[in-house]
Amino acid sequence: MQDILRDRRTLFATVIIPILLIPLMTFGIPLLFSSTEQQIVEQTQYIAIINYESSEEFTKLIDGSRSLRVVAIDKPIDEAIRNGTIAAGIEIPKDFDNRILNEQNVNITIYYDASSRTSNVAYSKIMQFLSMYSKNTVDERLANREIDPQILSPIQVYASDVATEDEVSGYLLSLILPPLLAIIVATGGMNASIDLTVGEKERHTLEALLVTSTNRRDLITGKFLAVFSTTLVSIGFIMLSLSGSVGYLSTLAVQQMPIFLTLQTSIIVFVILSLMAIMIASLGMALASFAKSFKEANNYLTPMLFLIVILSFGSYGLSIEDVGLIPFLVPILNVTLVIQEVLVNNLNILHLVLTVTSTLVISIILISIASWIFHKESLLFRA
Amino acid sequence: MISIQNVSKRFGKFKAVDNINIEVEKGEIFGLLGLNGAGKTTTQRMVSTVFQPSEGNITVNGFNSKSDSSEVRRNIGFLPTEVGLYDRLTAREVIKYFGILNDIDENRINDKIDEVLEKLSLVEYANKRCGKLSRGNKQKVAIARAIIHEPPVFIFDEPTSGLDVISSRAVLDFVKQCKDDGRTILYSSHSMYETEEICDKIAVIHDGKILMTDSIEHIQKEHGSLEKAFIAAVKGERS
Repeated sequence: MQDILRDRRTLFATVIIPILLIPLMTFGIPLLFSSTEQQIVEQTQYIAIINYESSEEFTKLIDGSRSLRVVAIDKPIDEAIRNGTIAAGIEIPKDFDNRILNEQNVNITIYYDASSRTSNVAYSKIMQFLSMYSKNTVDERLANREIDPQILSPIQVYASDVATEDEVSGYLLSLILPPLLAIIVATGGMNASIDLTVGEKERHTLEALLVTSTNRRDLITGKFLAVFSTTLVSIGFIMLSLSGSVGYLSTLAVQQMPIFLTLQTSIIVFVILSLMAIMIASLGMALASFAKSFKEANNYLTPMLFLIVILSFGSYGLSIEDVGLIPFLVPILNVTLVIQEVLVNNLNILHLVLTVTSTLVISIILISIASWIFHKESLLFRA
Repeated sequence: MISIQNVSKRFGKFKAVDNINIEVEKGEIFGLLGLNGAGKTTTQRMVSTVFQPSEGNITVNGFNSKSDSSEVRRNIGFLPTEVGLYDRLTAREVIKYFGILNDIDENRINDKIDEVLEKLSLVEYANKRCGKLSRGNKQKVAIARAIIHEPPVFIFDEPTSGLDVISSRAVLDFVKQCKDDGRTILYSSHSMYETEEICDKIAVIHDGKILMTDSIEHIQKEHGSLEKAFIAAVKGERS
C-alpha cells in the first residue's frame, strides 16, 4: 500500500486527475460551449443570394436584419460555403417578385454546411427569416381579401418548459459526469492492480512474498484491499473535487448547477462508485495476475478499459425514465445510470438494488478467479 | 532438517527435476552445484513451497511441504536469485513488511530490525529507499528480509551472483556466521570456489538428476578439488 502510494503513476491517476478533471468537466466545458455558441449567434453571418436582382425588397429585408449580411461572391456557392467566404446561401427564382405578386408558390433552396456550427446558425437564422417573410406575405394576401389571418390558425400552441435553465444544465451535467466518474475510478483501480500483481513478478518480489508465513489467500486478499483502498482514496478526491466544483458554481450568480449533491446523494454516489471499485480491482487483479509482464497486462487491460468507456457512455443512448431493468444488470452501465438518477434526484430503489447485487456478484466471481490464479503455479509462473 | 525423497518436478512434458534424494542435517551447509538450468532453483523453490513436487516428498524440520506448507515457510528463510525489492520503500520498511508477513509481533519488530541491520552492517542505509542502494546493499536487504523471523533453515539461491568481490565476501562471511549460529543451509551456486569454501556437503545436479553427493572433505581427498570432481561427473553423464 505504502509502495503504491509512492508511485507517481498511481498518484497521478488517483489524486491529480480527479482534482483537475472534475472541475474542468463540471463547469469548464459547459461554460466554454455556451460562450462559444452564444458568440456565434451574436455574430453577423455573411450569406449570398443567387438571383438577388430578381427581388431587391427581399434582399434588403435580409440585409437589413442585423444578424445576416448579404454579400456578392465570385465563385460557386458550395465552394464559397466550404472555404468559409460565406456561412450559407439562398437561391431564389429569377421571377421571385412576379410570383409573389401573382400569388404563386416560390421555391427557395438554402445551401449550408451541416458540419459547420457557424453555417448551422446561419441556416437557422435564414429559416427564421423565411418563416416570418412567408407569414407576412400570407397575412398581406388575406388582408387584401378582408379575411382575418387568424382563420388559418385554429389552434395556437404554446410550449412551456417547466425546467428552469438551471435544471436543463443540471440534466446535461448528469449526462456528462457519471461516465467520467466511472472512467476515473476504473483507471485508478487498474493502475494499482497491475502494480500489485504483475508488478511483483517484474520486480521479482513475488517469490519472496510467497515464501512468507502468510498464505496465498491472505496475500491476494491484502493486495485486493490495497487496490480497493487506493481506489477509495481516488473516489474521495473525486467527491471532494465534485463538491468543490458544484459548491463554487452555486456561488456564481450567472449560472447555478442544480445537480442534487446533498450529503445523502454524495454518500450514495460514493457507495456506488466504491462497489464499482471493488469490481474493477477484482477484474484488474484477475487479468494482471495471469500476465507475465507489465506489457502483457496492458495488452489485456487496455481493451478492458475501452469496454469500460463504451459501457460508461452507453447511458447516453438510454433515458432513465423508461430504460427498463436489463441495463441495471450490465456492469458499469448500471453504475452510470444509477449515478445519473441520483444527480437528477430521481433514484429508483429497485435500480439501486439490481446494480448493487450484480456488481457484487461479478466482483465475487472475479476475486475467486484472481485467488485461483494465485494458487495455480502453472498460471502464476507461466513460462 | 531437510529431507528430499524421490522428488520430481514436471512443467508440462519437461522434467525439470528427476527423482532426486537429498538429506541436509542440522547445522550443515549443503551445496547444490550445477550449471545454469540444471534444476537447482526448481529444487529450492520446491523446498520453500513456491512449487509443489510432481512426485515424492519434502520435509523441513519434520513438516511436509504439501500438507504443512505454512509451517515449512515459517521454518525457512529464502533468498531467491533475483534481488527483488520495492524501490520506493526504504530498507527498514521492506524488512518490516516482511517481518509482519512472517507474523513477528509488532512490539518486537523494530528491535528485530535493528538487530538484523546491525548484523548485516546496514544501519546507515536503513532509511534510504531501496532503489537508491548499491547492488551489494540491496542483496543485504534481501538477506535481512529473508531472515528477519529467525528461521532455523536458510535457503540461498546463488546469493553472490552479480556481486563485486567485497560484497560477495560479506555474503559468504554471513553464511558462515549462520552456520556457526546453528542454522541449516541449502546453498546453490555454480561457483566451485565458494562452494568448496563454505559447504560441508554438496550434490552435483545436472539435467534435473543428482550425479554425485558427497562431503567436500571426501571429494577433495578423492579428486583433488571440487572442480575436477564436478567436471568428471558432468562429462561422465554426457558421454
